[in-house]
Amino acid sequence: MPAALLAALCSSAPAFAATQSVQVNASIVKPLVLTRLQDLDLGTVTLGPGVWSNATVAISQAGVLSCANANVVCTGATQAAQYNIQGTNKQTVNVTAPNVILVNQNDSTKTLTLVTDAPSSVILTSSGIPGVNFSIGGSVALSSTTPAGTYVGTFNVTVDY
Amino acid sequence: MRIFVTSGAIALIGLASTPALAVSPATQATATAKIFKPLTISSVQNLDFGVIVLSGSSFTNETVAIDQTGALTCGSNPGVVLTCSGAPQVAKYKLVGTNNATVTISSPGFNLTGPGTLAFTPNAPTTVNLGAAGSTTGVTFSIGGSIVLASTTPDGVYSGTFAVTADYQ
Repeated sequence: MPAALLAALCSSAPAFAATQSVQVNASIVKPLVLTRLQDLDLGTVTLGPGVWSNATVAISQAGVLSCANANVVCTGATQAAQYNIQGTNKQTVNVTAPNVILVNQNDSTKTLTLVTDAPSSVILTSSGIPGVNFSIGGSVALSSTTPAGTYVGTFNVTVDY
Repeated sequence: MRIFVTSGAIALIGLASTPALAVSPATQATATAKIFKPLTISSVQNLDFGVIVLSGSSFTNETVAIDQTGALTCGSNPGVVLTCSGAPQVAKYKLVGTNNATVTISSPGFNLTGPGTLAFTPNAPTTVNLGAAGSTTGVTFSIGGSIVLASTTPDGVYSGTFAVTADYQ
């Protein structure tokens, strides 16, 4: 049966000659390696008295804390999260950093959402070591009813070419 | 017969169908935020050394101290050099804030004034944990202190005011 099909195909091949060039592209790249360098820390936020909502505390990718709302006081050391990517030089790498659910360590039913602030892509400047570091900031919205406690969550950062 | 056209097309299809592989790190970073309720501190009771009688005829460097539990030390030879009476008591402050948060206490020294000046050295806890009821009933802590007396210390009533502050660690 396959032999018969092949014979039929051969007999139906066009008799005239034509040239058409088709470009073939192939990017050969190294596997990406993503490594965590440091954790994000928003420090300590003390909620002011009264009834209020939507006070945003944020840390930028550059590590600059925004704590301008009059209802919150920020203290303590803060830092943005940091990762390292290694791969192929000059390649653009897409960064995916979904928002992070921060869970109150005293009461797991109480959470805050960290809206992440990450670069959408990073261009590699070396092949393999040392790679490129990038930072991820984020923000949380607080209100006078936000339960006190230490909130912790884990990023789920992925990268691809 | 131009078979390279066909093979080129196959090669392109092959590349296009390669899935992009998303890479995760072995360990992800964590994100942490500590949220505290406002901290309030209020005075519950004043410190009192009671009455101190300068009994000895000539002395210096006699310390009268009250510790955080309220135990009074009345000089090196109570009843002879110094005689203490009355109802001594420590200062007490109440903190209300975030449950189980640790608070740093600052209580700098100050002078008691009266017929003369007496340097008062507070004896305060460096930290206080607010405990499980930190946001409701809060926690009360005590501050003692000491003064140094001599036979030449002018007699009379001395008083001063604490400058206690508390802050989340």
